[in-house]
Amino acid sequence: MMNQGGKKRGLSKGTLFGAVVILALSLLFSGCASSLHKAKLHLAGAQDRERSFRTEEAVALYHMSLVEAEREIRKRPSAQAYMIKGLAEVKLARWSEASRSFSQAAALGDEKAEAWAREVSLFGLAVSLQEQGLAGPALRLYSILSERGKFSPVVQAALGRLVDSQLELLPSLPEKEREKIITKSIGMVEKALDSDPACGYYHYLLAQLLGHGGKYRESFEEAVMARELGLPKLELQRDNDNQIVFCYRRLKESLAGEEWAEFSRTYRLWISKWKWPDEETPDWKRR
Amino acid sequence: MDEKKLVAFLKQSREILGDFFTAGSLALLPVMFSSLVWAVNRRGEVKKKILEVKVWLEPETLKNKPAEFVLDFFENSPELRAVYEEEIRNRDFRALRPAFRALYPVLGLQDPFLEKLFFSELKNHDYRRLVAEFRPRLESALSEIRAAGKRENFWKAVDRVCGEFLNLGWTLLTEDEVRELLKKAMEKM
Repeated sequence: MMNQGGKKRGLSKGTLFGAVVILALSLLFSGCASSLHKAKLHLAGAQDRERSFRTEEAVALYHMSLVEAEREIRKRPSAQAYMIKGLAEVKLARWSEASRSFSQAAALGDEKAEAWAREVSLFGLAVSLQEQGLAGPALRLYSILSERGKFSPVVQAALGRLVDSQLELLPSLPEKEREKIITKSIGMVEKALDSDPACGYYHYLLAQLLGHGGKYRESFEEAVMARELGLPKLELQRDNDNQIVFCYRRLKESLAGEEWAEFSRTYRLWISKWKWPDEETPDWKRR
Repeated sequence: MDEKKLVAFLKQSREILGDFFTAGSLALLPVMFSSLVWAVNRRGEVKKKILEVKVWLEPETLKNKPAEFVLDFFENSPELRAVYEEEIRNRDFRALRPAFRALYPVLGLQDPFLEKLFFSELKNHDYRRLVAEFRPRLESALSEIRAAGKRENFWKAVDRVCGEFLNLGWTLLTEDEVRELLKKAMEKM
């Protein structure tokens, strides 16, 4: 009995010691989790939120990832830390900083960073050329990047700028020329969609272009796809919702009979899924 | 949420953030309002960082909206329809387009910063004045924010105010409801 009791006491001391060691280690690790580890976690979290279409939370996490990556670089500069910093900066549209981060990552040995740095830097150059009124060279760069770029955030941004610049020409052109420009722009976006069909932003651009062409049913369908796949900014989501309502009103005027009944049924299914209070009021809109 | 408590909180926040702006600042209340609305949008995260004020201006996108979309925006708002009746009737896009560029981010996208910046015009339905003052007032407000942002601890102070705001408990309210409560409480400050 005594032995048994003594053994029991010994075991419980050992167990206690083990528990203390585990607790101390876990506290040590949780307290000292490296900034790099935190930066990675925030970046992964942000990408996860983006996939779940929670864009505001994603932006907040990209900010946090950037802060942690910068902290890590101050302590232990590495290619990986610079890559994470660059990726967060790209997502926050800080192009020149992102280019510098990728260049640093390349200098520290990351193979793909150099190509990314080049693309980001070209895009930044195009933006500044455009801001200084040099639209021609800027458009050529956007066109090259949207067709041949490999880094998807740059390809998306360049295509967006290219489409905007094409649309800018529309008001001053005769009807036939307008149609040509719209058709050409639709072709550019459809090509981009072929290589990345799940990109909500491309569907948003297509919805806008089809709206310009008066194809409201198709525009509505693309806007629905954009909403379902998610958009990178909340203001784009809201603009996309306004496009959906706009298409609804246009179709209400132009469709009749069974065609309208069928569209109206589909429309009601979607808005009930999105919890809109009525056909013309998105959930975020003040009533 | 007790309105008195909210007003007291807003007064205290105005004092904290007011240190970063000059007296009679245009930007102080819009920064507060939009940051608090953003904070509510981001409440899913435990630690939020509000590191910049967002203003929803996409000049190219707005400039390029089709004429039908612009017209639809004016025609489907009873208040805008009343104010811009003549321009709508005459399809006067020389007047409607510049007005759209100012009004769409405020009324169409409901940007909280702009809503507060043009609070009195919105309250009085003075849309023509909003359009006339849009660019200069926005530029002044943004330059005030740039100046405040350069001062040490400004964003930390904004972040702190937002954190305390979230601690007041908004989990069951929508953005729309919080926005309305804030507007009412800010009038009583």
